[in-house]
Amino acid sequence: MATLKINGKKITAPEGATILEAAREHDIKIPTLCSNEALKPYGACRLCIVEVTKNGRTTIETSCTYPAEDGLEVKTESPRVAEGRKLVIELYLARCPNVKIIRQLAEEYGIKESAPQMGKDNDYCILCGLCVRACNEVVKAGAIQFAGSGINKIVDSPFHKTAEDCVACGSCAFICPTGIIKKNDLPSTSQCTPEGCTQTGAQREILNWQVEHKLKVCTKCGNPYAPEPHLTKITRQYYFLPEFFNICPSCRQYPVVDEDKCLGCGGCMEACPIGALELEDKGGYDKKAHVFTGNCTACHTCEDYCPMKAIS
Amino acid sequence: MKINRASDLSKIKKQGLELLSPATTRITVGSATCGLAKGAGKVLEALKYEVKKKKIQAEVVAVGCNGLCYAEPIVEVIQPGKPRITYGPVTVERVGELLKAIKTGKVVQDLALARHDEEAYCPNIAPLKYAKGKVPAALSGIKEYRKQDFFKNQLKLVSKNAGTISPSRIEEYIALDGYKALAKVLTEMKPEDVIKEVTVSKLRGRGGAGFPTGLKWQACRSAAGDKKYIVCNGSEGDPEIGMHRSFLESDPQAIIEGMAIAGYAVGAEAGYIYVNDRYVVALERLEEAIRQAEQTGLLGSNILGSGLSFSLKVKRGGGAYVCGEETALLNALEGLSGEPRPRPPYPAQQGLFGKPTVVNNIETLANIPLIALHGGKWFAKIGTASSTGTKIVALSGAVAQPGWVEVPLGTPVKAIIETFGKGTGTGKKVKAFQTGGPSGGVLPASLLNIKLDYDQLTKAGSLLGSGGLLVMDEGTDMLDMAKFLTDFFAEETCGKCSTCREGVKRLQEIIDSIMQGYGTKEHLNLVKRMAAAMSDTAACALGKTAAVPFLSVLKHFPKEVEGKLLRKGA
Repeated sequence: MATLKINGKKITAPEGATILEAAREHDIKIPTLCSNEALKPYGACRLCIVEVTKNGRTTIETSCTYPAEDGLEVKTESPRVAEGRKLVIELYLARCPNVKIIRQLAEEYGIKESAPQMGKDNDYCILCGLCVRACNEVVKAGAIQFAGSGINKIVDSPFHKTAEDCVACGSCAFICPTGIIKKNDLPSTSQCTPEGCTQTGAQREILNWQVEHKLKVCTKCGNPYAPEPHLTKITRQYYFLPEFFNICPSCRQYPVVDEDKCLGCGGCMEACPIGALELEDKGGYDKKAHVFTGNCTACHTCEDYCPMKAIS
Repeated sequence: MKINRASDLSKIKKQGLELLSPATTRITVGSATCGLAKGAGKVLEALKYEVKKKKIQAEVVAVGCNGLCYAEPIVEVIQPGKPRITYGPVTVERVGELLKAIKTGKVVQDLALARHDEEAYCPNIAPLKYAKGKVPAALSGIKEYRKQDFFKNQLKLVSKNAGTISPSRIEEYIALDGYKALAKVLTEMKPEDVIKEVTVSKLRGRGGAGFPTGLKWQACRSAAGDKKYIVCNGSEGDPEIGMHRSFLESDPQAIIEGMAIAGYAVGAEAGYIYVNDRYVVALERLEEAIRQAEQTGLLGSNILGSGLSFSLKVKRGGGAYVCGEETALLNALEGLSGEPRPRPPYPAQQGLFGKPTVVNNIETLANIPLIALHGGKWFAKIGTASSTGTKIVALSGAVAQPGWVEVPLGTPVKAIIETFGKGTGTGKKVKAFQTGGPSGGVLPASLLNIKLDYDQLTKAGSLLGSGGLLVMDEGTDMLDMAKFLTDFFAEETCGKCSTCREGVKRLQEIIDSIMQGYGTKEHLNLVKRMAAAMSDTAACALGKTAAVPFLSVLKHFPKEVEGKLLRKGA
């Protein structure tokens, strides 16, 4: 535990916490654009700057990366911080004047426009890196990256071509604070040629990375629910059985064994195509069927098989 | 020859001395990149061919650069019992004439630059004698090198071997007391003593920030970690500066020795040298030097029988300016994109691959053998009280004689420009100068008396940095200069943090609008506001100083910029 002062208030923070985390724990507001609990601190947006006094030396640091150490004195709204933050917001306004989150932020800090001497762009990406980091750190797909350098930096798929490693999970679109990354789930359409018509099947496209993937159709309800490569990736990554994702989460009803009716014959166990059932010892010669929901694909073969109708 | 005792070094030293002042003639050609660009490669080939053809008993050796870059290609001749003569510039056409003179024992007077009666390669150690007895009459017309302005005013400590020894022969490095410091450290000193000496020497990082090296080492030594690393920063992304390249091409063994000592002091067993990939010759020679050190048993396991293991690897970098920043360099070494990491944790706590790491500049590491050999107290006497030691300064821009020189810290900038650069060379006066590469401030001629000193330069709004000294004469348009430097930052910023990336872009636009004639006072006020906020909020030194060049131009040459603003009623 570390004890530090934020805006004159003494607070304690757990070991390894950053100033931002400690402040948020105590309802002290610090604006951020590039931080997310699920991702490692990055320190790109520079909005979360605070004034840190350590051993008599005062510096401006980003609170999302600076560890909450013992004896720190932190000011989140000092004039120096306010001036710096104002410039950061102005620079963002000049870059992305039409992005909602930036406009809201500017309004909050009483900034109407960026300085008129600044040039203006009309970009929609603020280069916070959330999408890139989510793709690399959480999804572990590594499909998108920063490209270019200097003032021409952008987020892009490799070589500005189709992102081969993209599984169309849509995490980037979900996390993007400006909404410039869009995923579209398209219904099945017919592609007709003189020879006849074929169904494309439901698809998901993420135009930013030039990706289009088929959506898996639930064998039960018939609705498309998740992109196939994403399910394949999860199946491999977490050792799921290949049949596991045949059914969509909302249709998934795991079989329940009525232990009063179950004879413990083991027929269901043999009938299960993936071995998700086992006989459990209940003492003596008594055995009852048990379902491992982690593996069960909810195909309900066991339900059809059970001679006693003990599984439902 | 592999050695495993410190006393065996003297055997190699003897071999080296035979190579340096041989029984036959030794002809050396300055073949660092500065020389090669001026045709040293051809001169070397021509000399080798002619020596063979004319059956002259001589050895032709490629050496590094001695700082006389303006007089390249430089050829030096050492004949037994005679002083060493420096010739330059020697073109291919004059090789025949030179060899004829060598054969007959004469001198090509119009090419001769200096005469070395003896080589005072390091204070406290007796010089290496070439000439015995009186100087022949034919040679007395040439000025002795220690009486010449160029050499007299320098204090060659780090660069003592540059241009004298062959970079690809470890024997020659050992001949001039190379690896003596490592042997001393391994046999007589404890790691703590080494750090103490470095702390006493008050050596400060030669890369930019000027952080005390002893403190850095101490922090790394006391940090917990099963593995530690020494990283040599040879990124040198600055334009117009090439002294690290030149140093690697002239004396790579000094860095290896410095790193091995650093490894012993902080408890690291592996080191990386990060070198700009464009430095083709330097990389070649550095790799050869490491190979030779390994073969001699000065790198690897159980060095000189002390039980110390230290191995080195060379990593090639793309040469981005931002990769000179130590955390960005570590990222680049790990194969990530060269973006600075948030600090803390500092590299000394969590550096390369998350292990405690010391990142030192090439020149800093080259100072280490000297400190270890002669002691920290001796080193602290050189230079000024807070900036000790010497600094290699790369002179470029409007100077008559560009090149690099090594001077004690505290030398006035004016003296450097006048003694070594010989003025602007254009007949115009010096208008401004910039120290420390692109991140430094552009200072006016009125500040020429400023001393080369960490604190003084910081006070004046510039920095010592890696030691570049760019001189601008009266013909330079300062706004053009500001534009050039800001454009440089626009290209070289990594683009990670918002203030630097967006700020530099806006600065560029503001300069453009002033140049196009519709800049106003408000533009200048905005620049001042941005510069202040950028220095506070940017993530690394590059972003913090990106506005400094333009700001210093505004501060020191306000009339020039304001004269271009939009006039009222225009």
